[in-house]
Amino acid sequence: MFYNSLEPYLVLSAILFVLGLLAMFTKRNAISILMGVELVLNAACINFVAFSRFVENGISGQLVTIFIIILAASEAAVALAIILHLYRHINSINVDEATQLEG
Amino acid sequence: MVPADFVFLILATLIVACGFVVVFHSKIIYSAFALLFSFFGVGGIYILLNADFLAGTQLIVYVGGISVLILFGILLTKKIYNLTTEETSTQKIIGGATSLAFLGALAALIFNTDWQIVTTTQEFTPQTLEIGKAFMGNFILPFELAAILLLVALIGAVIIGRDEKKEEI
Repeated sequence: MFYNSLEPYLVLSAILFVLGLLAMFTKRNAISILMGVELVLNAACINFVAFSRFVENGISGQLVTIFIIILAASEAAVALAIILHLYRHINSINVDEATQLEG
Repeated sequence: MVPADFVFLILATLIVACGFVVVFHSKIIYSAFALLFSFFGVGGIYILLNADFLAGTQLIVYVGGISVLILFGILLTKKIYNLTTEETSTQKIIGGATSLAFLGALAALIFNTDWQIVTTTQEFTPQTLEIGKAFMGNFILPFELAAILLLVALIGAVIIGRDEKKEEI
């Protein structure tokens, strides 16, 4: 029985989390790093909902997930605005080339 | 195996396969579309977990909002078809090793912890009413703070994204 036990959801979210982590580690492209962050946030959301379904049997995990979704939306909007601005400045979205603040 | 098990397996396969495409495809536009389908699969997982309101929110905000925003971000930067994700091999090795170690640690934790499961069979009840009551009751302060955060992020994104050369509103 996969769908009504806790562990399959935790394993799924662990795999998703590690994929997001890998994207953040290996990519140099700012938009790809943002996609990695979104994967990690989704993995955390699955964990919260699974725990509130099996361990708590209530809705506070779902409320936390709604706040995570709100945070992810505002983070994506601001991050993409910054990336577009960076692209206009240095004509590239490679994070290694954004060195203007280096001392 | 009941039908819901197959649904879970299909959704998990979709999420993980699309996640692999996001991480390992060299063209960023394909990564963005794979990310969209991965979000879609997570919405299905919420339905399996009896979280109907969250599944709807996931579809509206992630699939309809954030994915499209990321696609716009890619399309507004030039040369989309040559836009690669630009990795170096040292990063691949060190990042891959760290990620695998982390996955091993997480798996060990998941299977060695004694989770205090209180229920495995839960009747489906619509959750929107409960969520609304919680937002207007115990969670009113974070709810209002989230509203302020969204306003700040909206204004901030507009101001940051504006073209500086065409100043003077």
